[in-house]
Amino acid sequence: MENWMIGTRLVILLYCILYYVMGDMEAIPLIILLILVYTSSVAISYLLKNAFFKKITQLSSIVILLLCTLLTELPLILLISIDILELVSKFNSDWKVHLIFTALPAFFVDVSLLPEYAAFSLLTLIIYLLAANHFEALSVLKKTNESLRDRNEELLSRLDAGNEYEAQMRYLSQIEERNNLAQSIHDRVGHTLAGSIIQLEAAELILDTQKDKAGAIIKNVKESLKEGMDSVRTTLRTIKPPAEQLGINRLKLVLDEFSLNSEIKTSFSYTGRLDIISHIQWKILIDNTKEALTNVLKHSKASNVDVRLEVMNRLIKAEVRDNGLGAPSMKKGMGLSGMEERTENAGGKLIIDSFGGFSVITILPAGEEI
Amino acid sequence: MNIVRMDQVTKSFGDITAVDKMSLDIEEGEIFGLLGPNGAGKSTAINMITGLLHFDKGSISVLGSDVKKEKMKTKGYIGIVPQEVAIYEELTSLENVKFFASLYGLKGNELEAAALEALEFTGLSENAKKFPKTFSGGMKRRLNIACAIAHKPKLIIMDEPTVGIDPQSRNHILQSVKKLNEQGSTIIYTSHYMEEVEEICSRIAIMDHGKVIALGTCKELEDLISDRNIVLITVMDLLSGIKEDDIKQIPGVDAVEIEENIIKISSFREVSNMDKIINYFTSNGISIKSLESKMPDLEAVFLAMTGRKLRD
Repeated sequence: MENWMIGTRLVILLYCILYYVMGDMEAIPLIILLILVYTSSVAISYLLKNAFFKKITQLSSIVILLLCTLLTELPLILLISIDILELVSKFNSDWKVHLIFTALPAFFVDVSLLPEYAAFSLLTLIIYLLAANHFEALSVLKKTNESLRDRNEELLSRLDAGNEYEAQMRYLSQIEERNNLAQSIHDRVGHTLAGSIIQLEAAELILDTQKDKAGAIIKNVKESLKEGMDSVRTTLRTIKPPAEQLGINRLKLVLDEFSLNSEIKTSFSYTGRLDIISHIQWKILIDNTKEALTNVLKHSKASNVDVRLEVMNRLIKAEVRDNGLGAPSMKKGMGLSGMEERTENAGGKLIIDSFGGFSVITILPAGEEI
Repeated sequence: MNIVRMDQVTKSFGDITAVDKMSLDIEEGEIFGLLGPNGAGKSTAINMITGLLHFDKGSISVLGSDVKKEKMKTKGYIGIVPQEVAIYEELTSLENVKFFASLYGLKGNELEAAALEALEFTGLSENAKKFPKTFSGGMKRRLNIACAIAHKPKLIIMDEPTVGIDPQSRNHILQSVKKLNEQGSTIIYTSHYMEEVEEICSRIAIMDHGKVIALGTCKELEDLISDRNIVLITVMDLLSGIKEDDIKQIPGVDAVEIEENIIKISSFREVSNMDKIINYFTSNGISIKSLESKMPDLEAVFLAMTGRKLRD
């Protein structure tokens, strides 16, 4: 803003100097003095921070210019509209008022100089208003930018906090699970083992003297150890989740995370015997689904994505289909190539269809040990 | 020995990958079917085997010879029946066959005999002196086949030879494919008519978007999606007293649904029990109005795998 006004001043000052050189005028020392005093006054007004003193110096600039008009023939008065504008704008922001105030010094101006004065002050006003408009718009943008940045930071920190909370929850539930496990091992196995050890020690003591009794004790211990073994087996069976439960839950989690982080709606369905999908196959299906969803987010502009898992007689098929732009001609990127490799290494096929939305189908052989 | 071996063959046209890392082994004596929708890459694959089209990556060999390094040798093994009829209308049938056979080096009496034999085989002997201008679409196709087989190639490639012809010529062509195979030729047959492929092919590759997505005998392919048949029986009488549990007792029957007068029986394909099912109805005095057996066909296999139809 200030730069614009200083620039305008410089142009007008140059004009005055040229006017002086061409005009053959007297009183060089006085003119130089006035120009110097004026420039220092303007400079000071820009340097000052205090609003009151700023106004004082601006007023003094105006006075100097008026003095100059009275004492010399130099048309330094042409500069006055800038100083008036700067001063008046502190009190009023209406451009019509500005116009009136810049017209006032016309009374001091020599009649021959009037057209020039009018032209200069109007130009100055226009430059001033344009610059002012720009600066206002800029400052508004800056402010919104700042508030956006603040909001962004806040959201990021909230997200971090959320992730942390989730990690904590996961950790806590793991701990709890471990605690349950420890308890159950202690209850079922610990007691049996401790009891068995005591009985066996007793049997050892009486082995030579009371053979029959020792034999009975050992038999007893054998029975209770067998029971213990059975109960360990039962525990393990109950706590180890089957592959299909783990798999389907992970797949759902992937989808939940996706719809949480995007505006795209997801739907999920499955048919057939999920229990014949092996752990490795689940991993491939889940990895491919993740990758396909990333692609949906990056390229599709879709509003809906449908994930379908079907187990047929000898096939496992997982399809991720969106209703977005599709891609009538496209080059396979890292993502699709990776999916393809993964799938083909497991004896499957990846079918990519990009007409009418984008669809990625992972086909894996079912019911084979891989 | 493998008559054709494709290893990781890729061919792109600009941004479109027509054939994508395709690997395929075709054994001697097969009628090998390439099935897929239009644009799946069947013709591209075939044109690369015959040397009409260069490929970007991978390798193809015919009877152990590389198609790039021993071009002339591999071309000699092959007879091609292209998708578009390629014959000279200004030449007679015999002249056409002789011309194409001479390209493979046949001469003189040998050439004449081979050409006549080929015309005989395709049922065109009587038309040997006639100009193909006057022929029907089916006859032109048969002449095209005669041109391809006169030099007795070990491998005959037929690219959609039955598109747009009458059922009779179509039958004739299918029969001659079988006969050629019996006489010792290996045949590669592409089509998007799954009925044809089901009827004549010993092994089938289903292609989609430049890839072989499934490979096997017709039964193996159908087995991919289901090991059951559905039998739909419509009976005359709504209140015929059919007992679901009784039907389930029939060996092989897996599930039964009764809806008004339609009984839907799902049964394992391995077990042949149709006579027992019918027997259940007749012995209980229930009269059958209609009976329909639904087996998964190759169309259903393609639909199940890709979610799309073979033909739009």
